[in-house]
Amino acid sequence: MNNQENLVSDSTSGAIKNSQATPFSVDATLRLIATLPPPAGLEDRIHAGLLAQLDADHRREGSGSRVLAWPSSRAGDSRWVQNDLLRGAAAAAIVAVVLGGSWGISARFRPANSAKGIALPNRVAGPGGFSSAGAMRTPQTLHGPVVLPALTPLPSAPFSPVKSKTLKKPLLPSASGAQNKAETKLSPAVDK
Amino acid sequence: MGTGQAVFLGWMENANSSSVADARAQAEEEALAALVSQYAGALYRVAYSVLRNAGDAEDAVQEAFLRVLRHREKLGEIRDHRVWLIRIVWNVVLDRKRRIKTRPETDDVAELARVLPAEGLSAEGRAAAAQHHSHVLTCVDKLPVKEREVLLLSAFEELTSVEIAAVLKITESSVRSRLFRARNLMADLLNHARSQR
Repeated sequence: MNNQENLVSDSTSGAIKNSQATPFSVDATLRLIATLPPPAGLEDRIHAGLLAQLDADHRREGSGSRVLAWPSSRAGDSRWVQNDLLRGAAAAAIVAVVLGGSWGISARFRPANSAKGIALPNRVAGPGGFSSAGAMRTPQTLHGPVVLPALTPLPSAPFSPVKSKTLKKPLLPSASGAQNKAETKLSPAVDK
Repeated sequence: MGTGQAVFLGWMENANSSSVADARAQAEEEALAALVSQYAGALYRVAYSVLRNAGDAEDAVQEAFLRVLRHREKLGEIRDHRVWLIRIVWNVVLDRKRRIKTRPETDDVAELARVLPAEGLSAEGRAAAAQHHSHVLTCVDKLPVKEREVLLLSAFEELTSVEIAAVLKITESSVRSRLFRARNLMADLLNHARSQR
């Protein structure tokens, strides 16, 4: 360490002593800045800026003013309006009254719980009336259409004349022979 | 008292209260103008010590007074206007410093050579002085924030350690201990820089 340029910190006086012959030290630099003269016209520029801001504020207040300047306070009877504490207390009281009233109403007239299912009362048969005898109604269910596989002729079994012979033969000799004939013409695969 | 009379009295009071409000506003504006005349220079120096740019420092002072203007109704409640104003400009300056990118040392040298008084110095001496001051300020920038703030404010003779504590919202003993650490660190930094040259 170079003794000539050694900066000694003195905590009691709070100053940095520079044993070097140079005229500048840390304190000198900082004090030089701390004693800088302000630029010329600084105050005037700040005044001008503040006046411009004030004008802008007045213009804004003017544009936002009410059509009718309602008297904000009357003598005697509305002094409390000017007190912030009283105004806050009044507002709190109004809120409390409104909330209390609405709570009271909702507590008294609580809406019924909406049930998911409706419990029907058991029907009691009157004297001499009919009873269901424990029968339960089951809804009719519709069966969907059944698609049958298409008929395919057997490749190895050709048309046999024996079968046709039997078909041609009337099954019943009665008057319903015509109906049987018609049935035999229908496809045998139709399932009723 | 009739209703019409009461309303009339209300309007009369409204007119009176508006004149009172006008008078109060005028008084506040006059007080603000007095503050500008009295403290603009000090605030500028505080701002310049951190920002190191004349334009930025002036803008910061302007912004600080605009903040005062917005809260001018509180002027009557303030006990020490000087410390209050310095605290405002200090906050403004720190906000700006965070936003502004760090300038290179060469910019500081040029700015200091332009701004700092150099009576009795030749052109070469002036340049050397500006370079030296810039180097010192670069070392100041390397200090931790807490120590740097106390060191910068301690350079202002008009600020006591109690007032520095009020500006920074710390205790006076913290100011003293931070100042002690700052000076030690500065000595180390300057010695280190000289040994490297």
